[in-house]
Amino acid sequence: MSDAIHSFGLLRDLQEELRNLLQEDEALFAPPRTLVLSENLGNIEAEVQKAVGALNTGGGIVVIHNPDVAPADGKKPWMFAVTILIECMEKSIVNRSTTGNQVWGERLGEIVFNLLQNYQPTSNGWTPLIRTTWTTGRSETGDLVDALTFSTETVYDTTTSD
Amino acid sequence: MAILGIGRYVVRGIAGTVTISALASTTDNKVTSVTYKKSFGVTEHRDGMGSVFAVTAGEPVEEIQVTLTPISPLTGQSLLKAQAAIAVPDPLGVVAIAGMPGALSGTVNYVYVDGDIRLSSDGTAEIQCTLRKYVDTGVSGTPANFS
Repeated sequence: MSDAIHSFGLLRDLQEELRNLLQEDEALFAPPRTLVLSENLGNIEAEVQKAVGALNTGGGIVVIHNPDVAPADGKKPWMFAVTILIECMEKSIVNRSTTGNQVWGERLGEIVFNLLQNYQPTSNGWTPLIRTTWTTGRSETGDLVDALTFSTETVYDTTTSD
Repeated sequence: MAILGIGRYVVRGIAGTVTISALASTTDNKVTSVTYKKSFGVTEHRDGMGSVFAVTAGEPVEEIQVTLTPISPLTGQSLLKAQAAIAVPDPLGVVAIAGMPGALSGTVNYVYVDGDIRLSSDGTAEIQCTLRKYVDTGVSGTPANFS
């Protein structure tokens, strides 16, 4: 089997770099620990449920969704732009209980914003991340969510590849 | 055979390349616009009543305005290399235009006569160069130092 097809690609590398950056940050990693998950389509809800219990996150979870590819710009078709949704979830029934960590979703949102705004990924030529949206609300599963979207772009043009 | 008005060819985009010696090779920049201009002086010859009875054209000057975005070279690519390419050519520096359609076709050396660099908070860096073609004219590669 080909190694190339199994190795991480442009988008997944970016997602993993951001996950590592957030998970290794002291504000999120130190107790009360907040778990940072990368979305893997199809099982994210199960992962969240597992994280709340076994890993004792106290109800605060950051989920880095798969990067969404933005529409191409006709003036610069070689630029490849993506947006990345990062959800800062608070399982409020756990988080705000007497044993919860009392870290609110909006505080997680602020930490993520401080870490990622203008952060320049180290590989594949991605430009510094810029926040495009920041919404606060309740998810379908009843969690409190601060959802931040960041955008970045790189050059992706097969005519310049060797 | 194409049906009248349907399925006929049109030129879209910029298929050609721009190479700036020692600054940006063919694959290290992306051209976003090219404007070609061919201009010349016109002399009107008038009779005693002031009516024009003949016109003569002066020597044509071919000029190209090209806007491009430099990108990091493929070999050992880095942000620093992309930043280093944010520069304009030397005065009268040679810029090769190739692969363009029609009046711009062929590989032709133009020289740099004017330009600017544009950085913006919401987009990629852009360099605009005004280039001129001089045919059968000596071009000094080492212009006088006016400083």
